[in-house]
Amino acid sequence: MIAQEVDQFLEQGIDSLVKVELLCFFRRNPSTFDTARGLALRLGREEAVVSQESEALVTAEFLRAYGTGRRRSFALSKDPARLYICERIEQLITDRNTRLLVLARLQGRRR
Amino acid sequence: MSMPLEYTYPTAALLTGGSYSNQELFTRLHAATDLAGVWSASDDQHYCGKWQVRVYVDGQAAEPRLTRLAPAFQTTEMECGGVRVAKTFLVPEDVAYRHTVYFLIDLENVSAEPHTIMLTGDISYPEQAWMQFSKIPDLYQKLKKVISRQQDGLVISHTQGRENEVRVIASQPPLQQPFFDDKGVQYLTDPFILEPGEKRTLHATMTFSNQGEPPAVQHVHLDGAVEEARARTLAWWDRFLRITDITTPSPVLNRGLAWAKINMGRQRVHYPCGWGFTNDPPQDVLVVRDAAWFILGSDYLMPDFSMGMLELLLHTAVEPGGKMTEYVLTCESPPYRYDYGLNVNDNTPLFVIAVWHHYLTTGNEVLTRTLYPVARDAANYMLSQRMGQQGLVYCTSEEANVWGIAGWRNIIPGYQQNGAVTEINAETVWALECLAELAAALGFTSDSDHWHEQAADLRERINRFLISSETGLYVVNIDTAGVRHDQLTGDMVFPLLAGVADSAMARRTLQALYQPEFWTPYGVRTVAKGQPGYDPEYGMRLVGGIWPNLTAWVAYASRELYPEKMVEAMENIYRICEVPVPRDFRNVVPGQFPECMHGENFESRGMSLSPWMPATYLWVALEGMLGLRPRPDGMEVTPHLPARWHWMGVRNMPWRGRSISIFVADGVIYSTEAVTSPLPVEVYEEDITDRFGGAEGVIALRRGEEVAVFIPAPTERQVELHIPAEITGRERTLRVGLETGAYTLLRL
Repeated sequence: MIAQEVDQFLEQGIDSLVKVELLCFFRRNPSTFDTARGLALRLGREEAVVSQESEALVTAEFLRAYGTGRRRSFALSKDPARLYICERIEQLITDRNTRLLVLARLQGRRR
Repeated sequence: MSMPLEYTYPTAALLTGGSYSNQELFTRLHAATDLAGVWSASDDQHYCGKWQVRVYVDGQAAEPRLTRLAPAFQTTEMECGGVRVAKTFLVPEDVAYRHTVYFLIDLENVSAEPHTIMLTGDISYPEQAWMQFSKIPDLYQKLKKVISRQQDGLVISHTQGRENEVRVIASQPPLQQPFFDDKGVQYLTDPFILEPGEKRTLHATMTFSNQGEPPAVQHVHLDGAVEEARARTLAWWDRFLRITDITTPSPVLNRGLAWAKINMGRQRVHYPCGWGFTNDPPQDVLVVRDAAWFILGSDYLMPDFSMGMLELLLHTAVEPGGKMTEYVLTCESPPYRYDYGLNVNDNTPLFVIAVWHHYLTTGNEVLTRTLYPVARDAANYMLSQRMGQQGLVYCTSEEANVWGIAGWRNIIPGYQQNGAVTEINAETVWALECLAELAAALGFTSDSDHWHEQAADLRERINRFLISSETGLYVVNIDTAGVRHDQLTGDMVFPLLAGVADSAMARRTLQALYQPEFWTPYGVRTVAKGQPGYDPEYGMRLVGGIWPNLTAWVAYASRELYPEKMVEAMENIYRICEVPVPRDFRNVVPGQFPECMHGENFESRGMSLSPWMPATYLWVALEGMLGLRPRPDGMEVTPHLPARWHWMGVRNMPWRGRSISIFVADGVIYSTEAVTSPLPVEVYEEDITDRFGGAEGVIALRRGEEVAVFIPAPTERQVELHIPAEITGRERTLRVGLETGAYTLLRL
């Protein structure tokens, strides 16, 4: 069951650990409005990687983006369907029993 | 089963995996080769409760298919999407830092497509309770919490409140960002592509320390060092298995004896205060009774370990007055000992027997002269506990369970075994006779005469007072209220082991033990079915269940009168270790002797690896079947082979600082030492078997220009014997065909 659910996440474009971390972060902090640099600091990731993955999540309509250049900022989507997916991902990632299965499938299926 | 010393089963057929250890640590595995616990002998602490390693192929978890149990490692084989996976767990030997465990993942892409591979690891450091294992975690160990961090590619975890208690994890491929909590860590490795036809080995290592980070960080291995550790470990076990290499006409026994040695090797523990082994691993409890029985076997395989254990007992296990205690906590400083408040026990005479045995097999006179006064005091103490008109050694306890049972079955709830206990009295006679021989060998002639006289006196009293008028067999005991307990139990074997029973009594006792109320296909029941109080499960299976060590004692007691029953009993003991579906018998692990079984459905619910049983198994083979009888002036050999057996042999067996090889073939003894025997003896100068290409079971002995080559066939076989040029002038290969149970003796 979880594997099928993860496959649905993949179809939605969620295919990396950083994307999962971004969605979990926004889910826990839904009012966040921040640049890629700010998000990278919060996640402990490289800015370039966060920028690239955030843009992909904008394309997938999980995040919204405002502005351009270094001041381009990101916020969580308001779409209920997307928010539900974020909630599920956070549940599965927080649970010690499902976390590894989800991440391994997400990253393993990526090509 | 695939190879003689390796068992391969469908993973689903196993409830649990093996127990692997070295002298510094003990581990338990699940059937799918995941770690279920790591314990350290340095401090009696649990360092890991769970480490599950999973392999993902294109995001799909590889499912366990087959599990191989080998002496040095356990492997679970999987196949997923055209990728073959073998996950191996290894506890290293012959390495600089033994506080280490390894996972090695061998991958092979046999498909035409590339595949994405990644590993996950789920580690929980506190000890965990697993339904597969009988041991219940200590609450303190279970509630440990850790603080973890990632540094230089390693994950380092400290126990909260015990800052020097450290574990370090390293992985190849490297770990992605791990997830920490106060129990441990979960991680994924960087994914990579395995190309068609490509093979790759991945690994993960855990080191631990109770001395802070530096030792664990310094010794955590990566890359080539892991492969080197694997090679060194395999080589170590290979060398170990060449010691005391026994061959009999029974293939089952041969496998059982090889695995007995493996399991003995796994019991060696180096505690802070010395060498020992525990009765319920992992822990630091050294029980004197179990140590003594173990020494009878380990003297023939690991005499240095026996010596170390005797030294430890000498310094830690002697109670004021000379009695040997019940157990010692060997990680305590100073070591703590406890005797359950019993005035007499079986530990005391068994210790004397072990001292005697170690001296005769090793010739270690320096240690023995130190131990002799302790053994003498122990014997005097036992004799001082003779009470009443009967003059028998007498247990005064009115308690129950461990505090009120004098004897080996001492963990039966609510049970008492006090007063004049046959087992204790018989073992005392045995100890006195051993001490008499030891005293004579050390030059204490008057002491020797005294011990002989005391043994004769006590033997006579046992046979006068401790035989039931109702059954004609030995009673269990006459308790402190004067009540005779003549329930039929396996304990009536002790007067036979001790040489207390005469031939007629031995015959009667053995015939009783061979009846179906006692005798089963998997061993001898502790209490005969149908007897008062019989229960196949209750009381740790000590009132009707099956304990393999009891079966082995019955086997040994059968050696002279019924050697065929001895062999049958020994085969019955090992039968449970090779059942087709181990899971049907609960926690049975192929190759490992279980502690005990239910008396009727034969399920194993005790320890999956009995710590003491393997040594007793080896002892019965050598002193029972081959009939070795170490004497002060050398080895006596009186084989007790069933009529259908024409041969048996052992090579490379430790003997008084040297190595001895002996085989018996059609009533003639061939030996590298001048042994005495009622059979004709041919003495050779040396064992040169290694020059003959290492065919299984072959023993080649040389004297002068003459070489005798013994080629046995437990099963039908074609032997290719490589004869080196130095023997016959030119190198050649000899092909010998033998039928099952046959042998040939070549003289070159």
